Parts: sequence; C-alpha cells; structure tokens
Amino acid sequence: MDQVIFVELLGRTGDVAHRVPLTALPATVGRAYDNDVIVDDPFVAPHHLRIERRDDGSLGAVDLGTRNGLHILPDSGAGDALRLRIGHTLMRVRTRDFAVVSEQPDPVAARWGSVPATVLLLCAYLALLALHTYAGTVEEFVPARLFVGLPIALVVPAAWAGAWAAIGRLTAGRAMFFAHAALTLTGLVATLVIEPFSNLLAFSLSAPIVVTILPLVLGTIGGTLLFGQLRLVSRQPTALLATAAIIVVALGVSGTYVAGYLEAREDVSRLDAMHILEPPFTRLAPGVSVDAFIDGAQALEKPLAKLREEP
Amino acid sequence: MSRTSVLILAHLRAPLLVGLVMAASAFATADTPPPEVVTAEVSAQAQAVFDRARDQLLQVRMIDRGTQAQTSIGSGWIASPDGLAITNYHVVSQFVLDPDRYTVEFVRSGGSRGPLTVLAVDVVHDLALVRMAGDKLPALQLASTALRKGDRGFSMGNPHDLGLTIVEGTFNGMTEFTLTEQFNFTGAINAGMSGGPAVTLDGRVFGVNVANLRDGQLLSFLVPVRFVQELLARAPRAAPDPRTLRSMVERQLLDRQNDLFTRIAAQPMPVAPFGRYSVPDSLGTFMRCWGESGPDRTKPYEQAFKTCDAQGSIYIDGNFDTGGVRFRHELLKSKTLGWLRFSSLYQRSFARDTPEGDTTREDVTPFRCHERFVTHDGGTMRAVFCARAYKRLRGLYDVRLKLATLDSTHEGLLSWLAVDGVSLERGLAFGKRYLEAVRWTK
Repeated sequence: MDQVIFVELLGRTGDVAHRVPLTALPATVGRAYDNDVIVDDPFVAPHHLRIERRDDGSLGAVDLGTRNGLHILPDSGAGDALRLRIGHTLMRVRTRDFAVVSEQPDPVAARWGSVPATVLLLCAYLALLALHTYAGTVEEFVPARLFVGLPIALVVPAAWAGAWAAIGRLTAGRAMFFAHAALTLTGLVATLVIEPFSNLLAFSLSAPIVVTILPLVLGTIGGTLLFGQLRLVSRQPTALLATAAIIVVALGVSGTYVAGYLEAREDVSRLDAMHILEPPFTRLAPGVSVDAFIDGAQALEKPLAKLREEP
Repeated sequence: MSRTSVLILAHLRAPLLVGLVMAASAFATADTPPPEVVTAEVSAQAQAVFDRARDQLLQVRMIDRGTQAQTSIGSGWIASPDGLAITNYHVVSQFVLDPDRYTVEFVRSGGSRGPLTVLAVDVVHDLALVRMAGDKLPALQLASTALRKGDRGFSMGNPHDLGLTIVEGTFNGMTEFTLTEQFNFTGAINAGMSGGPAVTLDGRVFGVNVANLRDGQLLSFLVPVRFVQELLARAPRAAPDPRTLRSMVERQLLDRQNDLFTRIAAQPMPVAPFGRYSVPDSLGTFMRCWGESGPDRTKPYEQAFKTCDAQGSIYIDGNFDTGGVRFRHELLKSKTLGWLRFSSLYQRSFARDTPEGDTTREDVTPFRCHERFVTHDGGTMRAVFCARAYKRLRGLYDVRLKLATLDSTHEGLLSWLAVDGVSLERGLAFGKRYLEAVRWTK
C-alpha cells in the first residue's frame, strides 16, 4: 500500500488553507468535483494535474494539458516533497516523514504579563515620574504640579499597549493587554532610570562617552521591548522577529547619530561639550591642575585644523 | 544693555524697496512746490561744503563677476591727485576675502566710472586704500587740527544709492569704553554712506563714515582721520596681488589682539569680590560692565550676575565680526531648594551658553571642547575650554571658557569667557589667567 501523502493548499499569508491526505496515487487536482483534490481557483483547469509516484519512488506532477500550465517551484529546503503553483494557487506536497521543528516557547507562559506585575510596574513608573517632576522644578514646588502631566503620562502608554493588544487579538487571537502594558511600562521605567543615571555617570567619571552611547543604550532597550511585543502578537519564528527588531533599532539609532552629526556640522555656535552638572558629592574623577587642564586643551589644535580643511 | 552698531553698507537685494523709494520720490517731486531760496546761514554753509567736495566723492560698487551686477555699494573719496582714494574695509571686504569672485568699481558725481584697485586695508579701523586711474584729480585735504566737542561737521556719501547726500552733524569726541577708537558723530549717516568723508566747515576731512547705532537716534561713528594718514603713509607703490590682501587682514587681526593681550598681561588680572568668590573684573577702560543681584521673592533661590563686554568688534565679512572680549559671572544660591533641585537649577544655567551671533559655517568651524574637573585654590570646578578656527583666515580662533564651581550643594559660581579672533596660544594663555583668577574667599 502507498504511503499517505498530504496535499496542502496555501492561503495568501502562507498559512495552510486546506489540507487533503491522499492514500492512493496517482491522484488528480483541479476545479472539477471528480478530482481527489478540488481547488477553487478560476485560473485552474477542471483537471489540472496528476500527482504520481515515479519509478524511483519520488513524487512527481504531470500537467494534464492546461492553458495556464503547471509550475514546479524549486525546493525551499524545508523538506517538502513537491512545491507547485497552478493558476493563482500555491500548493505543496508533504509526506508522513516530514520533520517539523520543536515547539516555540510561549511568552505568556512566563507569566510576564500578570496583573500584579503590571500594577507594580505602574507604581514604579508613576513614582519615577513624580521624582522627575520634583527634581526638575526649580521654582516653588506645589504638589499639584505632579498632576499636570499625569493624563498624558497615563494615556499614551495605555494607548500603546492597547494598540498592540488589538493587533494581537487579530493576529494571534489573544489580546494580552496586561502583558503589553507590562512591557511598555518596563521600557518607560528603564528610560526614566537610565537617562539620569547616564548623566550622573558621565559627570561623575568625567566621561562624555557615556552620553554619546546613550541613544544606543535606549535604542537597545526599545528594540528588546519591540521584540517582546512582536513575539506576543506574531507566530513567526523567534529569529525572524529578533531580526526585525534589530533592523528597526539599527535604523532608529543610526538615524539619531546621523541627524546629530549633521546638526553639529552645521551649528557653529554650539559648544561641543557635555553641559552636565551634578551635585559635587557625586564626583569620582579627580580634578587636574589649571596647568594640566590648559595643556590638555592644547590638543584641540589638531582636530580644528582638520575641521578647517572641510569644505 | 549692549550696543549694536550697524555698518552702513547698502546691500541692494530688494528691488521692491528700490521701487517704493522711486515711487515715493516721484510723488514728492510732483507735489512739492519748487524749492524756495533758503537764506539760513547753516544751509548755505552745507551748500558751500558740498559744492567744494562733490567732485572728490565716489560711490564704490562691489561687482559680482558672474552676473556683472552690483552686490553692495558704499562711498569713498579721492585723497590724492594721483588717484589714491579712501573707503571702508567693509565696503570692499568681499573682494579682499574672495578676489576671484568680485571686482570693485567707482562712480563719480558726473556719472563717470572705472575700476578700483585695492592697495591696502586697515581691518581694525575699517579702512581701505584704493587707487583709480588718472592724475591731477581733485583731492580732499585732511584736517590737521583736532576738533572740539560741539564742532559742526558734514558727512557725505550716497545713502541707499539715492544720490550724493550731505548731512550736517555734531562732532562729539572719541567714543568711550570701546576697544576701537572712533569718533562719536551726531548725524544721520545711513547705509551706503560707508567710506564717505566727514569734513569740517572748511572742507577738510576729519573722519570717515563707518557705522551707526541700531537703536540710536543719529548716533553715528567715524574713523578718525589719523588712521587715514597712517594708511596713506604706507601706501604701496604698486598694486599687490589681490590674494595677499587676505594675509594682510590675518596679520592685522593677530597684531591687534597681541597688542591688546600684551597690555592686559602686563598687569595683574583685575579681580573683584562676587559672593563668596573672587572673580575676574573689568580688564580696562575699554570694557563696560553691568550687574544685577538681589533676591527675587517669587523664586526659591537667589541669583546675581555680572557681565563685562569690550566694545568695538571688528567687521570681517557678512555676519562675521571678531575682536571682542567678554565674560559673564553668575551666582546661584538657595537655602530651600535642597540638593536635588538646586542641582537641576545649576545644571540648567550651566547648559545655557551665551549667544554667539550669526556667524556661519563659511567663516568658522564648529567648536571643539576640552572638559575636566579642575582643582585649584583648594576648590574644584568643572571647566570647559572650547575653540573654533577661522576658515578663511589662518591662525585665528574664537575661544570660549566656561566653568562652574563644585563646592556646595546649595551654592555655586558659573562663569563664561569669550575671546574672539586670537591665536590659540593667546586664547589658552588668557584662559589660564582667567581660571587662576577665580578664587574662594569663604
């Protein structure tokens, strides 16, 4: 007896729209109802092709004399026995020994989006915002100030998480609003912590590089969260989603640096320095003498000579 | 607070404006009755002065080689029968900096015109010595005696290309508290009159029109005639290669800053108390200082500042001035803000740099900075030294220094220094003295 084979008709998104197990060969495919596999495609002939087993045991397809022809597609490497296009329909044939990959980890299983975690993150986010507002108020501080930006500060992340949840509902069948909210809040909390911390570190160590790499750090965080949200809404392989997130981050971060470079090139008034001051007790880098400072500034001559040559 | 003088060079780039002026004057001619004979003595004097000087006056036009159209106009005057003439440096600056793109020509009162050769410039005093072809030309005489405050003077030129004009005004002596030596002249000098002569009642030149004050009323400035004498005295026999004029500008700027900073370095750095600090103070009579302090009751902190500015910047081209020295100290103090919020306040002031003018990428490179913690006099500060190089002039830099003391969580001194158009060496040397002059008095 012949082995069972599966003929799969693919939908527009590449998902299997129709799967027919065939136990006997040869078998025919076409629009007519006397075929083994019926294809509702006006560009497909009533009797379009025959699938048969060749002498060497491999599977083959034979055109039954059609107007639009039979297109055998090259092997994609996935292990399909046959890949074909007839009319506007993609179809493939797989045998029982087709090797499927192991299951993907389900991000929801990590309980990332549990309600308590989300609430905790929301509290952290609001506390950091309040601290930020308080520290940045150099006029008289009135507690009511804390509520000025609150609606925006809440609505924007909620809308963001809601949009992702809506996409998830459509593509994966599950909204998981709290998981998306938790991811969004994690990103905001990280940004609110990292930005002041980076300033503090740059000042404390007198290291401008810390400020220079800040867009990269923030971009990486943003990319990680994007990856997390893509994973919640998509069933594509992890590697593909990671690649997508990396490309988005790379474009965003390099765009930021290029824009900064172009602006600095045009702006002959801006002092190319950190402009950061923190409380004196946070300073770790040692002070140099006035002489050493001026000696160090002498080194500006070279880069300026180079800049002077630029058109 | 600070003075902005405008160079009176007319750039004709608004045909609409010219049209408006034409229409208005046509209207005026149609409606005004024929001028009556004016018998007032003063006007008769102006008439006589003008009649005597008319043939010696020039309109100086900068011509763009590409379009053969004028890009700017100024005035000038013949100073010797063999064709030496005087105008402002800023009237011919485009040619001096880019001789391949421009030519210079003159137009005389009769309408005759011809090319002008630039022989020498005095960029510091804004003068240029030019030559026109010809001999036995009518020339204006230079005044040999000094004027006194209140003397009458007559300034001439071609304002806005509207025709030769004579303006009566009052001589008011030297401008005070400025680096550049100029006469203060109360008279309506307008754009386009740059380079024209200001003469005494007997028709002798005592100054050259150069600038007016943007927010002033008839406040105008003249280059004293002694700088014209000095320039005439070093007139080269032959016209130099126009490309060497630029190095003449470089040398003059460096020399002027060398003189200034040698003078400043010859004495100990002037200092004055400022809160619990001692800070650099006015460097000389050429500097004008302003200050303000005292608590603003609506604010939870106290702020005081002091600004010192050396007037008399030197025009180079377009929006590009140099030669200034200025600094600013700011004191911030708060008992109620707490260290976190005081730090925000302090940081905000530190990040706000002093305005830089409209200099463009054509003239200067972007700033490059060197920043460190500097320990000095038992205290520590954050210090940033920045410089940008001049692109079209070699060896010249604009230098900036800013500092913030780091001695307290509720009090601090911020200070900014700006020195324009110096060698990097001078800038560093002065920056060092400035830093060393900042001390803690407790």
